[in-house]
Amino acid sequence: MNDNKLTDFLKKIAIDYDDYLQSVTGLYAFCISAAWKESIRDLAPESIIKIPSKIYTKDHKEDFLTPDSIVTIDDRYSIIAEMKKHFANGKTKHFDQIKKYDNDFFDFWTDEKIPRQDLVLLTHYLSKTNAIDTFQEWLKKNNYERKFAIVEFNYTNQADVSFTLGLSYGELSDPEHNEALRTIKPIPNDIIVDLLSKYKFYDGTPPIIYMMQIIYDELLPTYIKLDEEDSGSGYHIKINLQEARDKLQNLFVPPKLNKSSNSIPKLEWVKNAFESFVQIGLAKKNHQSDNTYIIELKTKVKEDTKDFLAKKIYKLNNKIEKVTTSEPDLFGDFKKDKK
Amino acid sequence: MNQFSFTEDMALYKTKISFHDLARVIDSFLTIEKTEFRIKLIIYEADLIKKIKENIEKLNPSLNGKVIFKDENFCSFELNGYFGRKIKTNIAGKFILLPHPFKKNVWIILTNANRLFIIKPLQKLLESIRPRITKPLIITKQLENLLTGFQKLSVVKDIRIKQIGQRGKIKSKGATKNIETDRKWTDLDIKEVFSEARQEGHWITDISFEYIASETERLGSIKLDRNGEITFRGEAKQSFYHFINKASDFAVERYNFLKNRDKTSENNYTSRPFIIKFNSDILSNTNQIGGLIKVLRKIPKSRLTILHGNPYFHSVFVDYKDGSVTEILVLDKNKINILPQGRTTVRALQRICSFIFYDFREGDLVEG
Repeated sequence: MNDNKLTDFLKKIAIDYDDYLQSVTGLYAFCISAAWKESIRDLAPESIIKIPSKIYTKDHKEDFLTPDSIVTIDDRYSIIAEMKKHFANGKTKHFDQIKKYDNDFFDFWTDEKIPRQDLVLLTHYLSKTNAIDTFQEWLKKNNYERKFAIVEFNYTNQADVSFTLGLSYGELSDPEHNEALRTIKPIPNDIIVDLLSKYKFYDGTPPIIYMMQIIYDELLPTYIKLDEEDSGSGYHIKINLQEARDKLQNLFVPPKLNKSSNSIPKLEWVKNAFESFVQIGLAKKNHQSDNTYIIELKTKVKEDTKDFLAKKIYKLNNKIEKVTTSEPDLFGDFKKDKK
Repeated sequence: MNQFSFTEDMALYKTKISFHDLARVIDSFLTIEKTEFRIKLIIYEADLIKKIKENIEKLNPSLNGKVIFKDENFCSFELNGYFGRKIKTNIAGKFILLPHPFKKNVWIILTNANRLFIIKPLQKLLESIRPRITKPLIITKQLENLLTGFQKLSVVKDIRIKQIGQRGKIKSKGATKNIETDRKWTDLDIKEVFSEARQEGHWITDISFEYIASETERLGSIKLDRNGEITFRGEAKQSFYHFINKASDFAVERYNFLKNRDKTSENNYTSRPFIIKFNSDILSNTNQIGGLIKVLRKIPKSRLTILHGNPYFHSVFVDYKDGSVTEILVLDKNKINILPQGRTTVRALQRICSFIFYDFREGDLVEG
């Protein structure tokens, strides 16, 4: 293997992985921040957070939209937030996307009217300038009826590490929350600890390694029976697609926050991950059922799972490269947003 | 290993001894020269006697064992096996197993066999139990508590520490190793030992001491280690229950703290994280966190995947011994957040804590 190419590949995998996880953290952190009631040190009892969400305009239920999140603070106020961790300069389409949410909506599952919403673009602090510049360009020919804000998120490392949210542009209707974000709001570490352990998905399609790593490290080991003996090299775990998807939702999309339908992680994400395990030789389809796989959980390999899986994919890609003339794409549609 | 007479052997292994009689019985044997008794405390929720009986049969012929005597809540076993690389030596011994009558899930193993019996055939037998057993984890301040509590008893006097096993951080610049191990043969009082350990930033892994039983003037000698193994020499009547009960209390307290923290359908998939808190900022930079990573990677039959390295540390730790999954997160300079996931047994959590306490630094467990 070309070491430099492999190193670059592994770096990219790590960045893509981190981007997705930070996007999840940023989205949940913002929604929790908006719904937080300091007096009770918890979410406002009447608040509802939906990640993802599904909404429609009156009489157009078939033309539903799926914003990344809706947080309803009370019966008069909500926020629709979209996550774009990396904002490339000139990408006005993101503001066109948000424009679609500048309307009166009803919740797809409950048919309840969504209280009047602010619109928010969430982005990493390194992208905020691009986002602001692009928005100002977009504003020359467009506008939002509702209040709009660009909110940045970041980890800072001064005394201790803390996760912060900041108002980069615009304003929100809640003056208290608005002021807190304007002066950069640190999210308490106990909330971040909670977020990082609980929430792994939002509506964006995760990178394939992200999905595979979560399945390999956090799902498959839970199938090892407590009285089972390790063969010495590992376990062979028989697992059904739907069952895996459901368990991942239970583990990483808690019902307390996700009051929408059981939609993430999507079955196709899980299926793509399982198929990838097959392609790299770690799984076989159960011949008796199309939706059941037998995945080999290797217990003697000490290597970081992300690197372990990425190297296998890299090796496979290289093998395919030598055979075909076109560029291999094991990742295929997995990385593209399917919205 | 001391050889007991047939009668002595009968009295120890071939009749039921209640928990209340253990101290008296052991004490009577300790008058025989060079006799020592070893106690191992185990935490196990199911019937350990039944499990050991089943496993002794399963392990044949790599281990040979049989029940010597069984009664309700009491069983004695004989066990032997061949160990060694080039030359195999048969290591044999007997042991008694009974549940602690007052400390739920605590089991007591008692033997007069030597240490080699404990670390070879007995260890192999215990390792084979499924679900796996949990060993107690007794840290420095708890060892101190055990000893100062013992000192307060009017039935003993003149307690002197004779041997200390300890570990500490290497402070020398340019050192490639992080942790040093030290074994000291000494003659100090309890306060001196622990005060010095605190000053030096050391943590104690085992401690041996002598005392005089006030009533009989007999010299007693005890070795305590961090995994709930206690060795008695010379005398046991005045000391036995103090150490067994107090060590069991610590074991149970930690077990209850670590229990039911993972995400299950019973708790609506809400885990209960906890924190290992240190009394200084020992996770301030990437080097120090690197030290933590080294320790976690050393844990056998496990895997560590790093999700984020800097400025905060976030990882997934899988314990392949029973499929326990834990996320480990460092945001503050003096805390490690332990986040149990889809299945995390007490044994697995204890194991993480044990390795961190042994190879990195001892800390306190607090609620997250």
